[in-house]
Amino acid sequence: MTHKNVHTVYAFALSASVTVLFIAVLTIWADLYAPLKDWLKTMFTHHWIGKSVLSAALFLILGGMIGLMVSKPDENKIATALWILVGASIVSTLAIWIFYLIEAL
Amino acid sequence: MNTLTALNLVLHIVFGLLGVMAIYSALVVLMKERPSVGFLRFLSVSGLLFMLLAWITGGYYYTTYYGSAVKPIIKAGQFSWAHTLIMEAKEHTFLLLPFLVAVLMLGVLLVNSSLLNDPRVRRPLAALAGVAFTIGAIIALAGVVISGAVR
Repeated sequence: MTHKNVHTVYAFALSASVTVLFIAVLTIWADLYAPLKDWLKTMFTHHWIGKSVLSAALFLILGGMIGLMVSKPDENKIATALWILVGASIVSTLAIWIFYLIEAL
Repeated sequence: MNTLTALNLVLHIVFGLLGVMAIYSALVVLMKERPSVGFLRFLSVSGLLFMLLAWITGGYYYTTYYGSAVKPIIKAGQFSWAHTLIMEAKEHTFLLLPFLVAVLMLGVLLVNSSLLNDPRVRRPLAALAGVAFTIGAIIALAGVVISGAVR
């Protein structure tokens, strides 16, 4: 594997971990704090579009920045980054479902 | 519902299901000790493509039709939780999927064949495909519940 490829997989796995947690935080925060949801609607015409655009931008920008900063991650580091993403995804999914379950009760 | 919106909804469902099928197939291939790299790459690229198309078509339906025409009917009916719990959770957990599948695709495309046979890399990629498939399957079932609640 070339270093460039290692960088890319590692950087975007970490970036995706932050992004999925960001989605859960933004979702819950916007539901609890009306001015944030209103701002998303004003800026992006719909709060869901705002969340989509912001999360995609975060994923791409953060992935690029991490790729520039990290030097020579090996296979073990890539594996760790992928496991972190798996964990972050489970936490985010549960957070969103539990939040709306509580809201619906 | 006009023809364009109906077509858009059908495409959203078809793209979403094809995406989930591609991710599930990638999971099955990644669980083998010696995965077929070419097939895996085809599945991961297809999975991301279908997820992006489902994102666009679903987003169009949700932002232009669901809120004004479907949501009020569900909320006024006896299954209002189908919106307040199922739809709210569905529309937001969906946002995770494109990023999970994008990283899956990068991992499959950018590591060489011998590394895809290395359990240190293959197992977390399989776990990632497993999580993405599980979320996708839950979202698909949520769509069935929402469709049922509006009738």
